Amino acid sequence: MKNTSSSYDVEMVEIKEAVDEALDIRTFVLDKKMDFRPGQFVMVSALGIGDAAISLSSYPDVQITFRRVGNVTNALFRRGVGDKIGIRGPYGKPYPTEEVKGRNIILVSGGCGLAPIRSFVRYFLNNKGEFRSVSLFFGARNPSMMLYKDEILSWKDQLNLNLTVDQADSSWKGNVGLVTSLMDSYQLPENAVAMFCGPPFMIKSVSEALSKKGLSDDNMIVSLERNMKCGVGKCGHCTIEEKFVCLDGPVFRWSEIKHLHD
Amino acid sequence: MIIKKSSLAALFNSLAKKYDFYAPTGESFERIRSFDEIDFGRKTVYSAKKIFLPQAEQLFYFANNNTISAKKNIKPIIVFGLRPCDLHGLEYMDEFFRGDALYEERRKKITVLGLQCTKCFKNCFCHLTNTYQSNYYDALFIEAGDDFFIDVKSDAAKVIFRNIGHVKAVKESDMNELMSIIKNSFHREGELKINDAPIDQFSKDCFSCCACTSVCPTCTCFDITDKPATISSGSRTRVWDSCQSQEFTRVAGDFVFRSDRFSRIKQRIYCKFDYTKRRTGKMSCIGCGRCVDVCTKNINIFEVFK
Repeated sequence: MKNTSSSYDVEMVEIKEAVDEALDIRTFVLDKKMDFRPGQFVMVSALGIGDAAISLSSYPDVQITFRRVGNVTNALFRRGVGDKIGIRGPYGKPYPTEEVKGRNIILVSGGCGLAPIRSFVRYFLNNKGEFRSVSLFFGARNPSMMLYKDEILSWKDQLNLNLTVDQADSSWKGNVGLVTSLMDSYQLPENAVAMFCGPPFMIKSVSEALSKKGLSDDNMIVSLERNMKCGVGKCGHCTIEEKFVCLDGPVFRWSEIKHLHD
Repeated sequence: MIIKKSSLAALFNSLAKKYDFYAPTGESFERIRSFDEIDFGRKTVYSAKKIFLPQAEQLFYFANNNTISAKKNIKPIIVFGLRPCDLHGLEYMDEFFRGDALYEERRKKITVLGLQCTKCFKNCFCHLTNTYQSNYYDALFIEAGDDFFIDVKSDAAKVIFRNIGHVKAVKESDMNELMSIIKNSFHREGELKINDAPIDQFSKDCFSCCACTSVCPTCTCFDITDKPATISSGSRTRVWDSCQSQEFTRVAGDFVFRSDRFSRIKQRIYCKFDYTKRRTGKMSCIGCGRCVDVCTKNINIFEVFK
């Protein structure tokens, strides 16, 4: 029986599909309907181990993509199709999909940071008329670490696709270098707004690169990662100064947080 | 009302039979059976936080990959002896945990009997934080010679004092005079400004034992952990946690956002004096000085106001 009075209760949800995206990175398609927007996250439980904050990586269906790095994600890796995992959420502020309507969208991400961005891309593909254009800049460590590879390639007719890897192998014909190296020759369109997600150093370098091209801090939307235990603004783990990343974010306007320090 | 100290014992002893009755017994607030166990003469090392937010609390149980509700059967509780600063701390906690079903379920069972301070203890800083008086209580006790003046405010408190028989009422003018004497002996004018310089020395001295956060009445942070009982069952529990540990901000891939001690101590000081003020308009430090009392390296966070 479920105790519905507590905000920490989880719903046990069946894994419909499991996809290996890259080494130690997996996507679960979940048998669940959820009212959410791209950029939001869920708390995912492996009962007996714990729970972890994971971005919703699709739209409008419920998928999560995660790397095997900690106790919870290791335990999730031992679950497969037909197994049940615990879910609560959605939590956090989504990407401002309404506000960016009619504008030129720049999406930037590195590594697993593509998960929430993919949710936005899927939203965009369902609502193409709403946006002027979408450009995606994505960097992976190497070609084998590029997640959603086939799907990304299928986007190439729908949006301006720019890929790079830090280290190439013999199969790689594209750009080599950091994701910012893709932007060197990029002409910033009018009425642009950028959304990015990735590790802290990437967020810093991308914001600097876009700033140099003339994009204002108000028009940069970033998605942050922090340690989260509750997801509802109580446990205190995800704070940056007075902000709770789980409540006030994880999606922030860069102008809102660039001056904050951990 | 005015109650002779000698007649308070009988009242408390009978209440301790009906309620889970907590009071300061020296180092901490404990459940008492008899009035004699109460220690009126000192500031407790630990705050009364654990009565409102247990150090470990089951959120739910699980077995065979299903969750089972953690039904609570909480008896009515009386907490006696919260000082004005503690009452401010409780007010902060109640506000912070608004909407948290577990907290609120316990909280509504608790009647709070405050105890006015008439002098400062060692390391008390309520004159800086303006927390030497509070009206956030069900009833407030003020020691006056052989008597206690008691302000009975809430219905819950009226129930407690219902059977006490005939007692003298406090004259409002006497109460006001007493409160203004207290106010004048504590009050201090002026704006507080944080100076970062002492934090550097704190971070050299501190060894992150986390005692400060565990004794603090307004440190509300917690961890959520799963405790296995068998291979397929156990409980999910929330446990007090501390921003002073590296673990607190560690994310997958072993990245720690506040890895150095300076950033962690700064976090605590600013959380208490500034960040919560930005969010709620009120700072969350209530000036009890317990973190100073308990620090083995004598770190005094109030030095940032020098």
